[in-house]
Amino acid sequence: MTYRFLDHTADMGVEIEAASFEDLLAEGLLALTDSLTEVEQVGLDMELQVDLVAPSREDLLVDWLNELVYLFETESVLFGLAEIGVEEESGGWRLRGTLQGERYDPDRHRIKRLIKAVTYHQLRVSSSSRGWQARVIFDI
Amino acid sequence: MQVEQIDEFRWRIPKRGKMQVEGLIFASAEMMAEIRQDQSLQQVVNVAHLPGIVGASMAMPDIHWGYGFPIGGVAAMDGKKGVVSPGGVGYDINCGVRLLRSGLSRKEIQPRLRDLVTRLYQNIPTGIGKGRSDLRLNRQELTRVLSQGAAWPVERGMGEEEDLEFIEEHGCLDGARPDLVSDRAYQRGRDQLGTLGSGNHFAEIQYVAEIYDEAAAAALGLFLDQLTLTIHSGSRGLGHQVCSDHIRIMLEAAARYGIELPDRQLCCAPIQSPEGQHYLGAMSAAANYAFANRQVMTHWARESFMQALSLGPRQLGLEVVYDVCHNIAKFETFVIDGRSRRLCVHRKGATRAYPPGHPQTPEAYQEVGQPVLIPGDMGRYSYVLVGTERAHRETFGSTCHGAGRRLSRRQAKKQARGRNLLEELERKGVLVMAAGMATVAEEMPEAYKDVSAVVDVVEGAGISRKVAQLKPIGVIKG
Repeated sequence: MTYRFLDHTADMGVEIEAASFEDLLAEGLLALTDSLTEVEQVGLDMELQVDLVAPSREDLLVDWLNELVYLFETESVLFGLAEIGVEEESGGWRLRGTLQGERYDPDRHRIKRLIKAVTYHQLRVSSSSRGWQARVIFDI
Repeated sequence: MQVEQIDEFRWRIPKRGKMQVEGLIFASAEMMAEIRQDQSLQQVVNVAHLPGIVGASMAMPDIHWGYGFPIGGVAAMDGKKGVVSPGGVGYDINCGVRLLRSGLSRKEIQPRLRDLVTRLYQNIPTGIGKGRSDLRLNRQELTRVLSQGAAWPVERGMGEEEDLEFIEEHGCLDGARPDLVSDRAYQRGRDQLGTLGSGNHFAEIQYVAEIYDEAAAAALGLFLDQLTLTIHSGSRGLGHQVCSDHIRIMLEAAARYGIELPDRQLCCAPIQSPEGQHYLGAMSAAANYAFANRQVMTHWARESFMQALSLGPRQLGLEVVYDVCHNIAKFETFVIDGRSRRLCVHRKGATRAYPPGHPQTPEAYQEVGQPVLIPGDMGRYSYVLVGTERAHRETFGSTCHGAGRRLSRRQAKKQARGRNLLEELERKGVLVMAAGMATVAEEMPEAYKDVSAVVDVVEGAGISRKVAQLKPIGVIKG
């Protein structure tokens, strides 16, 4: 599993690679946390459940990452780990996840930048013999 | 991409394929060479495909690659047959700029500058975190903010009735539907009223460094060396959530209405459809939140000035020159081919620039036109312009909105490595206080293009007129 940040003049993009679609989502969480703060400084003493349904895998990736933006903004929680299950069901794809993280602490978590939203712009999710790849752009 | 030069500052992308209208770009030849390097011209073409677009798919000289719509884009849609697109407004609904003028000169406050910037930084929350504990809203109060806009803080003693006269749309969009704003957006907005945010948002103490038009400057109450304050912020998490919610709805709606999308982020729905109406209602509510946000920060800025300078409100005289939206879609009326038409004008990183004599131009500015506020970067300068008749005829009363980035955030951070940017800026006479040093690096002056080049194009093209240049001396950032 890897991710790498892309240059986008006004904002910020990320390319993610993983063996499975579930891992791709888990890696997306790390990329998002890494763009907010030093990811290695995020503890794992809090646990939260997430349940999302989206019509496509692309939409699910955006909804998932937007959920993390929402939880950070409203609950001040930064996440460092996710265990994710994805199932196809009527009307789309369902994500059930257990998130681990901790409450934002200004003394320990240096904020690099804030993310307004995860966008659909140039959004891509694909699979190949090498596994799963995605590209997503954050609005800063 | 076929681009034809019309005159020194105008370029046309001819209609082809399924484009409904042509593309019209305002830029110098030098800028055009740079613009061609990213995908923003393709985005001008994509917007030209949208149903009901009128006139041209336009881009201002600060155009750059955005999501779906280019930043710096203007698109007017027929009020009956056209579409509305959340991507044509952006995530930060009614992000905008407010300029305040004081009765003070730079020299008078220079010895107290540090104290003044510190007070501003203490009084106006920036960066991450919630707003002030003395402004916590319950759902009922937040609903009022969404309906009333800037009038909400004014009614509670945070500002003067007169402030409202000098805000685009008097600080309140009609047709706001707080009931169509999601619970998640309410959650995000509840504790953020009166917060600056991060990224390119700022509050900046400036002085009037140059005046280009004496009469217009006098009408706007501006004089050389005068102390001014600019606030750049928007609708915060509430607006971001409204945009995300409705992009999701419209992705599905666009397919159902048979609208072909060259880019998903351009998703839209007919203005007259339930989805279109719902978005307009929620977006207008978010726009009102942004108007209220800038009004609350204005009140705290006034308090900061009074505390730091030990002045009363009269001596300080920190009055609103104007407040403009630069991410918005709203209904405006224009005469096209001799016929008056009500259009839904999308301005995504573009500013309204109404002419002298227009009923929406404040009474005090009837002779000179509506003020247009164009921030540059925190090391150089910003501009005050006024709208023109030509803009009203040609660009649906629109002009540019800022400098536009030159470096990506990564490039900027790379160039900032090993440097003490705060010290560098202070040596240049700009005192900066920021919640995060990473933001200062990403937002450093070199990361932006020279805004004077942008302003020269809109003036050269006759869609705005330069009035004054403002230089920063104190900045707070997220």
